[in-house]
Amino acid sequence: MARIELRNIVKRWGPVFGVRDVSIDIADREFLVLLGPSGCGKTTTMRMVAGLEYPSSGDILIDGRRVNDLEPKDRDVAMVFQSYGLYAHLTVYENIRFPLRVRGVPAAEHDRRVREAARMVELGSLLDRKPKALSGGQRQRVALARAIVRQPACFLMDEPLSNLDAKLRVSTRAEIKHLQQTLGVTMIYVTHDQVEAMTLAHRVAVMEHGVVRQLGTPTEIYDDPADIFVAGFIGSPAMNLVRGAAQDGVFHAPGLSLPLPQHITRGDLVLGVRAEDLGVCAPGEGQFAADIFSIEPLGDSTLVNIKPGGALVTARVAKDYRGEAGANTGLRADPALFYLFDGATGARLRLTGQGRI
Amino acid sequence: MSIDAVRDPDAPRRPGERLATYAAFLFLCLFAVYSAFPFFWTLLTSIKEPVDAFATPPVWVFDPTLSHYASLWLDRGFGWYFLNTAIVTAGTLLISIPIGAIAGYALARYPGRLGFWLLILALVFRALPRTAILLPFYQISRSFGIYDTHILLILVLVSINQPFTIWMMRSFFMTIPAEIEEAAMVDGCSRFKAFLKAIVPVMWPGVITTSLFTFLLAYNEFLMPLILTATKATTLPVAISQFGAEDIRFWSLSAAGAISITLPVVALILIFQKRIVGGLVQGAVKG
Amino acid sequence: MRTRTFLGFAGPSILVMVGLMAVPFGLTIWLSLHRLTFRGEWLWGGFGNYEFILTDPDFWRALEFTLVFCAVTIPAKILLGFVTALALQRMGTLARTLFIACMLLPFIVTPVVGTLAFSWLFRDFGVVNYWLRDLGLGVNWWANEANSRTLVMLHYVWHGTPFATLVLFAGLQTVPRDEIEAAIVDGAGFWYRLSAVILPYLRSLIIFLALMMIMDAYRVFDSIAILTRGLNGTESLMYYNYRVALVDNALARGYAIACLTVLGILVLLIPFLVNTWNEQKALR
Repeated sequence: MARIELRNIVKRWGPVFGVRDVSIDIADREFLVLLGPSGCGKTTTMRMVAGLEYPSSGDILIDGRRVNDLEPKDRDVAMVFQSYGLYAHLTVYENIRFPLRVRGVPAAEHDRRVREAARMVELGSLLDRKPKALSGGQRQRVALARAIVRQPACFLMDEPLSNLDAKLRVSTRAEIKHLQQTLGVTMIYVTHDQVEAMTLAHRVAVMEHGVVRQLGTPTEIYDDPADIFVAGFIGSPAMNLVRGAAQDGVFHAPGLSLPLPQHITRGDLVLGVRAEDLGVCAPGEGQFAADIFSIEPLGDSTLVNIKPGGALVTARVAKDYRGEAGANTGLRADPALFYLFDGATGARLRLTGQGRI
Repeated sequence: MSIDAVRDPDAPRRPGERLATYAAFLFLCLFAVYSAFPFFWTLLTSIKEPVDAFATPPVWVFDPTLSHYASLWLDRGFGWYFLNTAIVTAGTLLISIPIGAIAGYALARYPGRLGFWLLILALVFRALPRTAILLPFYQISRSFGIYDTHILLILVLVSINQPFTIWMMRSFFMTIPAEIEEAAMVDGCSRFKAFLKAIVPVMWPGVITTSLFTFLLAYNEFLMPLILTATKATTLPVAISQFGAEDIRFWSLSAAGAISITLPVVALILIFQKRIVGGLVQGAVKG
Repeated sequence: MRTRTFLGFAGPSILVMVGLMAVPFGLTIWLSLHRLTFRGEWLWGGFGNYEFILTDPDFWRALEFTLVFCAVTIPAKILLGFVTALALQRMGTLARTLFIACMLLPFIVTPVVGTLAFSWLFRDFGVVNYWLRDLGLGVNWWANEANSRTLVMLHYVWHGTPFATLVLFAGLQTVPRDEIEAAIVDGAGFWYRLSAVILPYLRSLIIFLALMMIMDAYRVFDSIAILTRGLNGTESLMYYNYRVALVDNALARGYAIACLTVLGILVLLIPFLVNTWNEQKALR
C-alpha cells in the first residue's frame, strides 16, 4: 500500500515526446485511471512507474522514496499486461507461483499464497490447466492472480479489459473494482474507454499528447471539464460543441443564439452542451432550431440529431419520442447548463465566478 | 527489438549491462573474423606471388599480382566453366521458377487433402539423399547419350529443386490475400487469367527470394555435376575441385579460381542480404 | 479452388517430381535387387547386394562416422549458434547487418570453395597450422583418423553454425515481449528469464532445427570429398556410396547403399512425423 508521486515526468526519444511534464500525486489505496486516446502517453507513464521504461527527466517516488533508478523487481509493483503476458509453458498454478519462486519466498509459503490468490479470482478449479486451454476471461484472471500473489504496494493495469468481449467486460470491471477495495492496494489503471474510467476511478487523469489535461474525480471531469478535449472525450454521445462568436453578450452561431451572463463581444468561441441536457421543443422556443437530420432510437432513450449550420448537435430524449427526419424542430436546454470554451486554445472560459460560464 | 537488454536511452547505467554488451561485441567480432578469415586469406593468396603465398612465417605485406587470374582465365579457359555454370543455372531458373510458382500458388489456395499430401511428398523428397536418384540418371543418360550435357544437369537440378521451391512459393502466396484474384474472377477472369493479371504483378518479392535460393542451389551444386558431367558440361564447383587441392603448385591458381567463383555470391549477399536471411529463416520459424 | 484447377496449376511440378524423382528412386530400389555382370547385363540378384554391404566393414565404418558426425556437430552448431544469436540481440541494426553479412559467407558461398579455403589454412604451410605450431600444438590434420575426423567436423561446424544463428536469432525476435516484461516485473534476472521464459519458448524451434540439421548432416558429401577424400575413416555414408558406385565401379551395390541410406533417413524422420501428427491432432 503506497503513495505514488509523479513529479514533472518527461519521456522523449530524441525530438519525439511521449510524455511531456506529467505531475500526479496518487494517494495510498487510490484507484487512479489514466484515460486518453492512443498515443497520449498513458501507457508510457504507467510503464515508467513499473520501471519498464525510464523517465528522461522528472522524479518518480513510491512512499517518498525516489525510484527512478530502480529496476522493476526492486519497486514492489505488480503489473497486469494487456495481453496478460502469461507463461505459456507453465500451468496456471506455476504461473501464479512464478513471482514467489523468483523472489525467493520460502517454499512452504507458496502453496498457501497461490491458492489464496486463485481463490480471490475464482480460479480454484483451473490450476492444472495451461494458458492455451483457457478462455480470454480466465487468462485475465490468471494475470490478476499472479499480481495479487505478490502482495505488492501498487497494482498497474494496462487496458486489461480491451481483449474481452462486451459482456465479460462489464462483469470483470465490477470484479476489478471489488478486488481493489478488498485488497486495499493503490491502483494505476490505463484505458481509452471512458466508461471504464468513470465507473472504476476515484480520480481520472485525462491525457492527450503527453500532458494531463485534467485530473479530477469522475464527477468533476464530467460536470466541470477543463478544456474542449476533456469535454469532448468524456460522455456518450460526446458533448455538442458549436463554433461561433459573441456579440453584445449574446452567443451567435448558425441556428443558435444564447444570451451569456456577461456582456462580451469576441470571436472564436465554442459553446458546449451535453445531449442529455437538451430537450425537443417548438422551433423558436429553444436555443437551437433546424431540420431534423436523423433520429436514433436506442431502446432506453432516443437521440435526435440536427445540423444547424453544418455542425452536428444531438439531443437525448425520452424513448417514446416520435418525430420525423426533415421536420423543423427546436432544441432547448436550461441556460445554466452550457459551457463556453476558447476557440483557439480550447481552454474553458469561466467569465463569471459562478455557474458554468 | 531487444528481448532482454533495455534499449532505453534514459535507463540508468548498470555496470553489468555495459560489460555484457562489450563482451557480446567482442565475441561477435571474433566470430565474424572466424567466419570470414578463410576467404580473406584465400583472397590474399590469390594475389600473392607463390613465394609470398607459401612463405612461413606468413607474409602480410607484399606486392600484389593478378597473374594468377590472368593465367586462370586466359590460359586455362576458366571462362568455359563459367559459361557452363551460367547456362545450367539460367536454365534451371527459367524452368523451375515458373512451374514452382504456379504449383505454390495452387497449394496456397487449395483446401483439399490432395494439397496436404503433395506437400508431405515434397518434404519427403527433400529429405532424400542425392544418391537415391543420382545413379539411375547416370546410367540412363549414358544410354541415351545425354550424359555430360547441359540439359541433363538442368533437368536434374529442376527436379531436386522443386520440393523446396513449392514450399517456399506456397508460403509467399499465402501472404497474398485471396481477395485480389477473387475480385478478378468476379470480374470475369478464369482462375488462370486472374492469376496472370492479379497475382503476377505482386508476387515478385517472393519470386526473387525463391530465385535466389534456386540460383544458389544450382550454382553451388557439386555431387550431381561431378557424376553427370565429364568434360563438356563441367561446372565451376567440379572444375575447382580438380585443381589439385594437394599439389601446392596449383594453389595460387586454385585460390584465384575460388575467389572468381565466390565473387558473384558475395555480390548477392551484399545486395540481397535481407531476403536471403528471410528465406533461410522462414521455413523454420513459421513451421 | 476446384480440384481440376489445382491439378492444372500444380501439374507440371507434380510431373517433374514424379518423373524425375519418384521414377528414378523407384529404379534405384528396383535395380538394387539386381546384379551387373561383366557383359553389362542386369540380372536378378535378390538381396545379394545388401548382404555384401551389410558385411562390408567399410559400410559400418561409414555409418559409425556419419552418426558420430551428427552427434558432435549438431549440438555444437546449436550451442554456438544460440550464443551468437544472444550476442546479436544486443547489437544495433548496423552492427547486426555487418555481422550477419560476415556470417553468411561460410554458409552461402559454394561449399566446395569454402572447403578449399578452409583446408588451405590447415595444411602444413597453412596459416592456422603455422600459428598452432607457434603455440606448440602443431598437428598434421591428415595423419590419422582422430585428426582427420576432427578436421572434417570443425569445418562442418564452421560452415553450418550461421544457419543456426540466424534461425535462433529470428526465433528470439518472436518471443512475446509481454512474457519477458512480466518476468522482469516479477523480478527475474537475465539468466532466470533465459531459462524460464525464453528457452521453453524456443524448444520446438530448436527441435525443428536439430531435425533439419540431422537431415543435412546425414547427407554430408561435398566437404568430405574435398577435405579428406574419405580417407582415415572420414567416409560418410554418401561418400561411401559414391566411392563404391563410381570409383570402385560397383554400380549395383551402389544402388543398395542408396536404399539403405534412405532407410536410415526414414528412421530418423519417423519420430518427427509422429510428433507433428500428434501436434496436429491436439489442435483439432
